[in-house]
Amino acid sequence: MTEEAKQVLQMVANGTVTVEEGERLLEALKAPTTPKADDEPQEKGTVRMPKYLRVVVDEGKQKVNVRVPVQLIRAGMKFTALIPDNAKGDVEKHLSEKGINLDFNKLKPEDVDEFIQSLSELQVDVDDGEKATVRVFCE
Amino acid sequence: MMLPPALIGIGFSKRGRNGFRLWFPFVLLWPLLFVVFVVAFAIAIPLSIVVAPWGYARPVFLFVPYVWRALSATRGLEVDVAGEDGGFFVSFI
Repeated sequence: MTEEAKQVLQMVANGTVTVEEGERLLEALKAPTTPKADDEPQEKGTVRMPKYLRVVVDEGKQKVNVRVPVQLIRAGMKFTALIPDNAKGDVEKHLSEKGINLDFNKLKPEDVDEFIQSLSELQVDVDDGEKATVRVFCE
Repeated sequence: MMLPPALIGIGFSKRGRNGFRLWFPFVLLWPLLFVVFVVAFAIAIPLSIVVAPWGYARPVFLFVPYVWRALSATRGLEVDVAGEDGGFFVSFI
């Protein structure tokens, strides 16, 4: 007998749940834990790739709604490959002066994919209650 | 194959007035665009060989396909700004 089943029997004995409820709980414990079709991708550990990055700003009478395709971000990042090797050093130097430490030689296509994938979990909600609401999320 | 947007919508509105939205069938420009890109790529190939000694071969060779890719990736881009003085709308479909 599993620990969970023992706990259910204990709850029935204590009168926390009725006999019928206890029976249902035991049946639920016996039921195989097969994932539903909708949950399958998540169960298998595959992350849904976001299609759009959305920025919504609502400041009373002013509203901004921007939808940027993730493919465009990906295409933009690929443009780093166009920077000539002899210019990369200068670009990196100027970026580091601005506080951005970026090594173009370490930027690989896999990193771009990883970055895009991690965007799916991005959600920024800023609400100051009176003036504006800013939402940044992926869909 | 990635294709450029088929429709481009541009809209303006001014305070107190009804704005307008124009939908431009960009798909009509696809053949012309395709020719321009093929010609540009045909020029880029020998040019990349010429500039190879200076280390610019890769950027010159990849520039045209990357621009095509970026143009195609604009599909779905939408900017909608509405304020007190008016609004602005751009959509790539």
